[in-house]
Amino acid sequence: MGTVIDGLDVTHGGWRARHSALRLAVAAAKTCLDRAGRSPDEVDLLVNAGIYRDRNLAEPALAALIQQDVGATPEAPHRDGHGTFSFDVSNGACGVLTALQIVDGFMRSHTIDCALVVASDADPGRGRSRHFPFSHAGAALMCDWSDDDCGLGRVHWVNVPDDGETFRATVGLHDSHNVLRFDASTAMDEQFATAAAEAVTRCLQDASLGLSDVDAIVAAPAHAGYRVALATRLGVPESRITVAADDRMHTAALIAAFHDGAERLRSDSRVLVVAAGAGVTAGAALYRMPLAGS
Amino acid sequence: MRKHWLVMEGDGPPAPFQTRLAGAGRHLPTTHLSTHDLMATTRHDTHIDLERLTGIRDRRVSNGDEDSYTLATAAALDCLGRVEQDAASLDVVISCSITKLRDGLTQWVEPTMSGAVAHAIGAANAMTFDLSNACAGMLTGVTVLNNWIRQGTVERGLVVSGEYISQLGQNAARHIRTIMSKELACLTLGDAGAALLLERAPAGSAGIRIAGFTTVANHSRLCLAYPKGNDPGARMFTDSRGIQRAAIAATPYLLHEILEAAGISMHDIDHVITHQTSARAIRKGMAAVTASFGEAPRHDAVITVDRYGNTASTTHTVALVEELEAGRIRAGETIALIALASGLEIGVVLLTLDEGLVNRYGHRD
Repeated sequence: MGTVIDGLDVTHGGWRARHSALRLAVAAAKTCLDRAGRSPDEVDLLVNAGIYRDRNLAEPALAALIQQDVGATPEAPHRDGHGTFSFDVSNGACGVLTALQIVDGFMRSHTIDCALVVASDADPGRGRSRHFPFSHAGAALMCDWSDDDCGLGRVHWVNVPDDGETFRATVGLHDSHNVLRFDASTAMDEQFATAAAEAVTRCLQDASLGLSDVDAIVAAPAHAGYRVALATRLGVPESRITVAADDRMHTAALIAAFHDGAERLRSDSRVLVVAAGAGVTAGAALYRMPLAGS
Repeated sequence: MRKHWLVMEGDGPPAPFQTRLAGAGRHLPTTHLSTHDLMATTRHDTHIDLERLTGIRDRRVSNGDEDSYTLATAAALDCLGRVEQDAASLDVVISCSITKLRDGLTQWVEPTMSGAVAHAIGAANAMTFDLSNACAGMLTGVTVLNNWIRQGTVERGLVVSGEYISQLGQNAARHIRTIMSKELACLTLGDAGAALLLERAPAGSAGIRIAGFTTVANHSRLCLAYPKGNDPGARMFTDSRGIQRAAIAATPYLLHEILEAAGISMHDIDHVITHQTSARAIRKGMAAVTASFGEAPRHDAVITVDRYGNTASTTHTVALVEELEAGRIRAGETIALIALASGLEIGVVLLTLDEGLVNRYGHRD
């Protein structure tokens, strides 16, 4: 029993969406729904894990705007219908894993039947940011529930507090303007890989499995240096770890990596999903591909 | 297939565990800012009687010495200290504030506020993430954590928020010209930190009975807050009337639904704590609810907005602690926490408190 991924989409920002995480998320969500053959009204829960957004918006949750623009029961409550609930989570490149864990909890309690996880980032632009380091990209995951022995397993987390020394993004007044700025340590990839490897160790120990029992490893963030460092710590060839092809992708990177790493796997295959982000925080979980026909 | 409009636990197999509220804490800055003094700072002669409009006389504000991070941390320590719970026993810390100001008026986008608070309080074993859902943030966090506890995913967790949001009022005071200004709601804001400790309890215990939420997203653009121009922090633009109209139209239906799911009537609710926007709005909303049900809850809705203003995502906890300290809530009584927030987010959490908790706040039968 577990939460299964019923479809996904990764969208890269064109010229029009280059300052709009909202447009990217909506485009990815719509395509994802189309591919899964679902109507927007079927979405019970919409969790947005994206961080860098239009105008550095603080309120409301971007998820509410995404819900309205996707057209997922945006109307007032009425009889013979069921509404959609939307909110944002923020956990760096681990945000999608956090969102999946939340979705899994609500699926497990039969609170929801269908959930959409979205993640997008775009440079808020127009003088609102300096040296924006991420690609403009969005992604969406359609989640369903399976009673078979498949889907998302327990998520294991590791925190190695660094007070933002490894990676930090802040908005503050600079030359009398509110500007989004970034600070990254040169040791970032190594620090992320150390936390990620620890999360993987806990995850595999809990499942009494080894890396040889795993058919694919999908990881975020997508930096080449992180991939190398993680492979070294796990003692596997770099080629066994799939990250997003676009190494500047941020919160959407885990979905892109899953798309590339799990796409050709047969049913019942085991995927190790691992992500690390600012904090430093890292999470890992096993995902078992749904059985054919389930 | 879900039968309810609200996203809430349905007719599946019973959850293996129950969630009890094990502690509630808050931290209020010591500096008072009266509505009279705030309105004296407006750049333009506005002719607005804010106190008459909102019922807000006073609010607490940080002088810059406290920010979202310190307010959240102080509230978390207050919560854990009151019930003598060790932070190392926490499985999760969820930070739910709108503002993430640290080191003054710098908004920390990454890393998470939850990670910083967990580290500061010694929650070394807790997973951490931030959740953002406007003023419904903390109750959304409670809904997520309640579900995890009921399913056995975690045993104990802290939902925390620190809102250093009064600078929006200072910014608005520079821009507001008339009562029609979209920044009027900024003048109602106050600062506060709040924390709720939830933990696993045996089935049948007092605790969270049911939690349900929905987002009426057609109204998602009625209130937007973001950093703008050269004002420190952020500015907020609100269609207050539009929000009130939409909330009053939708809330009674959703309350009928959740009370029916819980198998109780309106007169079974002892205390109602709504989001605190203005005393007038709360009374108007409760009048609509009473008209819809033909009966009222046992006590008038709690109002703390007159003293503390709208402290964003922390209002329900600030009010709950106030009621507990005043000895107005007894063990076993039913409390309805009602979230109304930009989105438009509408949520209801029904809970009862046990003697163990109520006695911690000085009230004994």
